[in-house]
Amino acid sequence: TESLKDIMDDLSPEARKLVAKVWQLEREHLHVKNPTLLTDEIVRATKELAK
Amino acid sequence: MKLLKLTLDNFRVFYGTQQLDLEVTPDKPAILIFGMNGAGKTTLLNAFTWALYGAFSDDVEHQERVINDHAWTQTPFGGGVSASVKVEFEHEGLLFTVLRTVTTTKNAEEQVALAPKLIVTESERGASTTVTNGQDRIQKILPEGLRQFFFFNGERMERMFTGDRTDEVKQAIKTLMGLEEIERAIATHLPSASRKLSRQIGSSGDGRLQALMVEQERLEQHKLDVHKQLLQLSETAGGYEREVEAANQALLANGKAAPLQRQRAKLKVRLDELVTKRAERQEKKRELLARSSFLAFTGGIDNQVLDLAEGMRKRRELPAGIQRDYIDGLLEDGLCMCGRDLPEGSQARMALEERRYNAGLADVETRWMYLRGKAADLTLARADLLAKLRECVADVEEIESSIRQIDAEESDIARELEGVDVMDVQRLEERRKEFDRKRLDALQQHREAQSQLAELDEQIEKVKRQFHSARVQDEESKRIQRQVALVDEVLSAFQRILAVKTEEVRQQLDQKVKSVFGRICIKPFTPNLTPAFALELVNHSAGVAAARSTGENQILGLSFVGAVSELAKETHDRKQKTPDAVLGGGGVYPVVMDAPFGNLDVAYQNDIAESLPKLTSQIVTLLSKSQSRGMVLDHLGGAASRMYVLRSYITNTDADEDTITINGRAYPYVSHGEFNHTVLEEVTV
Repeated sequence: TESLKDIMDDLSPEARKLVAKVWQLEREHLHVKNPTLLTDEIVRATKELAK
Repeated sequence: MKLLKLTLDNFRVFYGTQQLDLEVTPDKPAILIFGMNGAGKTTLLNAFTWALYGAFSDDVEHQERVINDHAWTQTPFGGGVSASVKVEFEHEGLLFTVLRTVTTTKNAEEQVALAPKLIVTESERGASTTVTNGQDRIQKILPEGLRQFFFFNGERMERMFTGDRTDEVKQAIKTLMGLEEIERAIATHLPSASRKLSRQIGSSGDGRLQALMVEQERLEQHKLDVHKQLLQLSETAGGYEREVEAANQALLANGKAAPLQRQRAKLKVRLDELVTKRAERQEKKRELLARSSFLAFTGGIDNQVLDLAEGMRKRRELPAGIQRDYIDGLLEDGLCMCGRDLPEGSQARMALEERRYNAGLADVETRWMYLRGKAADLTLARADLLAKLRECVADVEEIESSIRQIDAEESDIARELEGVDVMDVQRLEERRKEFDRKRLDALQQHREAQSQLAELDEQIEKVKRQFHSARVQDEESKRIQRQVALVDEVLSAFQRILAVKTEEVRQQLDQKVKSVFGRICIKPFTPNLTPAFALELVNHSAGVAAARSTGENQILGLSFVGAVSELAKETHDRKQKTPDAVLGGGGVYPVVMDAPFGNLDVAYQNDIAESLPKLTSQIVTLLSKSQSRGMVLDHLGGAASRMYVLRSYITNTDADEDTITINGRAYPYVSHGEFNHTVLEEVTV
C-alpha cells in the first residue's frame, strides 16, 4: 500500500536530493563507459550534501 | 525494434545465400513462412537469436554444426569455409546491421564448435559506424533475458511461466520496464559508494569505526561468495531438470510407457499448482506474523489493566465524570446538590472539595475510557489474528495432504514403470529417478544458501547500525559517519521504491493478461498473475484453479506474450511524451513465433489465428502445411504483408514431391534435389 510519495516523505531532505541524483546517474548509463565513474559521482554528491 | 531483413549464408539447412524481406505495413503486420517438418522453421527462428545473442534454443540438435552440411562436405581439407546470419533492423530512428559469422579451415570430417565473430554497425541518415562493443549495444536494445517473450516456439510456450522459471520471468519483466536501473543502484553503486566513504576514515580516525568497516567488508565479501554459489546451484538444478524432462519425453515416445507417463505429467501439473499455492499461503502467514504477531503478547496485559482500573474506580481513586466547573458553582453558593448547606470547615464541604480535586482529572478519565475501548479492540484483534493463522495453517495442511497423495500416486506410477518388461523403459526410468534425486539435492542446497544469505544480510544491517550509532570524538570521523548514514538511508529508500515499482508492474501486467486472454478465450476462466509472478488460471464459475489443457496453456502463454508486448509499448510511448519521467524501460518489439498452434484443435487454432496479428506491430509466424488450412489461413493471410515458402529439396526419390496451395495457387513445397537443403521462395500476396 506504500507509494513513491510515502517513501520520499519519510526521507531527510538530503536523502531526497541524493535519491534523485542517483536515479539520474543510473539512467545515464554512466557505468557502461566507466564502471567507477558512477560510484565516484555518488561519493561526490554525498560529500556535498553531508558536509 | 522493427525487423527489416534477414540474410542467411550457408547457415545450417540453408545452402548458399538466402534472404527474407521483413518489412510490414501497420494494417498488415504479419509475415507468414510455410515449411514442412525439418525444412528449417526452427532454424529460421534460431537464426535471429543466434545473430543477436550467439545462442540456440535447447531443442536445436548438433548446435556445433552451424555451417551447412553440403557446403562443409564440398570444402576440401585445408580449404576455408564459413557461415553467417545478418539481421537488419531499425530501432529508435537508427538503422542497425548485426552480422555474426563463423569461419574455419576444414581439418576433420566433422564440424566442431567454433567461436563466432560479431560485427554491429549503426547508421543514421546514411552515415554508418561500427559499434565498438556490439553485444553490449544489442543487450541495451533487447536484453537477452527478454528474448523468450519475442522469439519463441509456440509448443514450448508454457515453460515460460511454470515451475522454477517464474524468477527468471520476473527478472526479465523488471529489465523490460527499466527497473534494473534501481537494482543496479542497490546491488552495486550505492554499496561501493558507502565502502569508498568509510575507507576514508584512515589510520588516524576512530578505531571503533575502522573495525566496524573491516567487519562489514568481510561480511559483504562472504555474501558475494554465497551469492555466486547460489547462482551455480540454480544452474545445476536447471541442468538436472532438463535431464529429467528429456527422460520424460523419451518415456512418452515409448509405446508401453506412454500412458503411465501421460498420467504422471498430469500429476506434475497438479503438483506444481499445489506447490505454488502452498508458497502463497506460507507467505500470507509470514506477512500476518510480521505485521501482527505482537498481539499474541498482549493477552492478559489488557485484562490486568482493566482490573486495575476497575479496582481504582471501586476504591473511588478514579475520578468521577462530574465537571469541575459544576462543583465550583456548588462551593461558591455554599449549597450542595442534595440541598445540604456547605459551611467552611464542615465535613460535607471537605468531601466536596476532595471530589473537586478528582474532577480536575477528567482528562485522565477520558484516557481511561479510551484505553478500555482499546483493550476490548485488542481482544478482538487477537481473536481475529488467531482465526486467520488457523485458517492459513489448515490450508497449508490440506495442501500438504494433497501433495502427499500426489506423491504416493507418482510413486505407484514409478513402480509400474520400473516393472515394464522393456529394458529401455527401465533404463530411462532409472535415469529419470537419478537426475530427479540430484535435482532435489541441488534445490535443497539452494534453499540452505538462501537462508545463509538472509542471515548475512541481518549481520550486515547490525554492523551498519553500530557504525551509525557509534560515539566518535574527532570531527572528520563524525563527518564520514554522517555521509555513510546518508548513503545507507538512500539505499534503503531504493529498496522500498523497487518493491513498490515491481508491484505496480505486476498489477499492470495482470490487468493486461486478463484483457488479452479475454479477447481470445471464451471459457469462464480468468488468468491471474500471482505476487510471485506465476501465471495461473482461475475457473470463476467454481472459484478454483482450473486444470489447464494444452490449448488453454497455449492461449495463456500467448496472452502473456501479448500483455508484455503491449505493456512495453505503452511504457515506451509514455516515455516519448514525458522524457523527464523518472523511469526508463519499455520499447516496441517484433514477435517471431514458430508453431503458433502446437497441436491444438481447430476451434482454438481459429481463435489464435484471429488474435495473432493484434498481438504486436510486427509478427513473423512459421507454419507447417497442416497448420494453415481453412479459416486459419484466411485470418492470417488477410493480415500478411509477405509470405514465403521454405522449399525442401530432398534426395530420397521414394518420397513424393508436394505442393502447398496459398490463395488458390500451388507452390512447390517438397522437391527432389541432388542434396538435402532448403530454399526460401517468396509467394505473391
